[in-house]
Amino acid sequence: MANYFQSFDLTPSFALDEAALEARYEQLMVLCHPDKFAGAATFEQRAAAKRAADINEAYGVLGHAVRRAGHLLELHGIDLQELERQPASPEFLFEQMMLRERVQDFESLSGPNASALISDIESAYSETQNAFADHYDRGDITGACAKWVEFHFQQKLLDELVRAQRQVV
Amino acid sequence: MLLQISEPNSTENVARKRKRGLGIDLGTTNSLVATKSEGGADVITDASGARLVPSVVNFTGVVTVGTSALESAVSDVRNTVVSAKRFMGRSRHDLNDQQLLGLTTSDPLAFDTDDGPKTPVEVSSEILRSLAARARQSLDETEDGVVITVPAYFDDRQRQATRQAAELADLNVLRLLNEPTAAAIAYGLDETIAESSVVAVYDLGGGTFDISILRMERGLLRVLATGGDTALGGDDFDEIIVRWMLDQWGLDSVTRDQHRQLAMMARAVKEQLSESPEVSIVATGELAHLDDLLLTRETFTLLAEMLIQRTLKACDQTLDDAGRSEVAHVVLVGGSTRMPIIREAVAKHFNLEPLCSINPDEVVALGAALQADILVGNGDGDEALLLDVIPLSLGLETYGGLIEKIIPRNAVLPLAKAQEFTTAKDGQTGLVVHVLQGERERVEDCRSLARFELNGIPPMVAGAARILVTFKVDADGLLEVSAREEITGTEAALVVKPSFGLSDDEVASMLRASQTNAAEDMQARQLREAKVEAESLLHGLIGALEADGDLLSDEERAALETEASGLVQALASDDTEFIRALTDQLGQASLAFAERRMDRSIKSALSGVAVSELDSAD
Repeated sequence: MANYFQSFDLTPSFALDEAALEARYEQLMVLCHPDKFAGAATFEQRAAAKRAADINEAYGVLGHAVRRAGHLLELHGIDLQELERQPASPEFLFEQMMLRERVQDFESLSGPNASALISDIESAYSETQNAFADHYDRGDITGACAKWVEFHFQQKLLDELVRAQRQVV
Repeated sequence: MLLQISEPNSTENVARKRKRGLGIDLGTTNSLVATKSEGGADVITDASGARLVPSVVNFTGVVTVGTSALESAVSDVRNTVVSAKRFMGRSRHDLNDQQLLGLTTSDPLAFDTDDGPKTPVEVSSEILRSLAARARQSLDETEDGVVITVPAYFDDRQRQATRQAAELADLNVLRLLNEPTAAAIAYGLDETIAESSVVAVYDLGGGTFDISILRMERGLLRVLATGGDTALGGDDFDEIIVRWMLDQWGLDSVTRDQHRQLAMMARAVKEQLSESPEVSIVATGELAHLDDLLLTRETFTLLAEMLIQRTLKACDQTLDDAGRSEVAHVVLVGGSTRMPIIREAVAKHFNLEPLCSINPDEVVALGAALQADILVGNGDGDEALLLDVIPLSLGLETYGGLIEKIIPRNAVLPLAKAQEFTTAKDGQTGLVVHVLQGERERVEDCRSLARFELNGIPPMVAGAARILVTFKVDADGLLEVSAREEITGTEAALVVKPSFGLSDDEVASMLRASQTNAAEDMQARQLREAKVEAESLLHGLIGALEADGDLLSDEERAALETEASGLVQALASDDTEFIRALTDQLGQASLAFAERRMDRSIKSALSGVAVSELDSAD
């Protein structure tokens, strides 16, 4: 398992200095992008293309909250595909289902109702995010895993909400 | 011993020679070719000084391209193909009835001419060929490579079609470059744009619309997000004028010939409306009996409102994707942005006076020429790096006609991503991999790129097989997919290469046919190319060994040197296949070494150690 934090010379943690990530990313791409090897031999261009693709993948993971959280767990030996199959609590699932129904009806919601839904979803999301960070920082990987399962669900819901908002606009 | 081989072949000197790159803007209405010059880039003109080449091809015996073909656009509609770019990588159900009129009814999609069916790829290749010929004649040398621009919002099929047109025109493509990005490169030399500003490029061409949000800073030009519509451009503004005319005359429909005539008239009316507040329309020829009409800019504004709103909506969505609420500049690109109604709408929407100091018809070709010069190998390493993105998400079909996204839109190129799948049923031995591109959730709403089967999975219980599907998207935005069953190693790989009616063999044979008059025959050329490639590899390897030979063990170094000597000996022969095989083998063997070198340069860069020494080794 490649350690993406290491690739970017960053300390593994959920909290992230976005400016540092951006600066490091751009620095790495300037070093590795195949275009920087335009005059070089094909084998060097190929090595560059491979490395640039690896950096892009790492950047995608580190820059995305749920994927970054997942990667931290992977570095602790957790199999994310396995974890995705773990059931969340019935209460949580019920709550998600209710929210999802409201998202599906998004177009028909009045202004205040739409705003209320957006704030419900966003606050639940950031609550889970904070809870994940707390568990992880305390070294409670089991607790962090449980939160990640919820986090993962809520990300999907948030994505759906964004899509619904766009369709209305 | 290796050191000696670079001397007799003097690869050193060959490598230092300045190479020639061309930038080609293959447009819907007009195309251009440009090249790097002192301090900038220049459009290459023909003998009469004309800069634009109309993207029009006439097929009557001798193929003609450009201005002379345009003259037959109305008199010989059947044999004169216009706006072929709108058909690139498209299938029948993407097209409207009007567009279908000139096509053959059989597959593949092709224009029906007296000279037989002509696919959009073939038509485009004629335009490319003509542009390259213009450049060769004007510069009195043959180019080493070309950068061809494509709309940023072109999907994989449209890009593959463009790539195939270039192959058919026998061009060495250095890169398919996104049009708004090319324009930004040209504006990169502009001093009105401050360091580190975020810029929107609004590119409305003859047939396509792109909006790209970029950050421009010293040493880096980064696309943050891109959006658009590859079926919205100047042609559509012409079409609304045609519809209005028909409406005024009380006509329901016209013949294909009449439609072409009206479309040409509408284009002229549209262009005149940019200069004057109203234009009178006098029908000629078969339509001379119809009343004269008067179209005012106000009426045109009302007619065009829907089209303009579509572009502005895409702007908002792309800004949102880029995570920005505003930009420092908005740059206008594409001939259609000459329309005052577009300029006004864009200025109002962004609340900024748009930048258009570089000719909007030429800016894309100029930027492409600058990038071609770098990619052909003339750069010194200090040029701004270009980071571009994939415009549309890539995904796989899953249960119930839904799509699982693998690569999100606006991910930076190049990309490689692997995803694991498993079997759904006990004893399942095959798996269909269906690759799609688009933003919608359902298969039928996205563009199907490829469908292939992975067979020979040994029977296992459901969920036990581990199938790894790998997507690779290169800097051109072209996709390659492979699938592998991890436990048994069963493999299926393909380059996503939809046939646009032309197989690789057909392309090769058409190329051979076109080269009967070429000074150099195909075999001699292949041998020469194989030798150049081998020498470049040996040269690169020697440099790498000198600079970082300590990264290899004695055994590793000896193994590489043995293979290299083999290749040096092969170079003395005229056996193209043998030289190629040994080049591939040595290239493969050198890959790990190149990666170690890259790790070293990354490490020293991250730890703040100067990398100048390592750089100079390249």
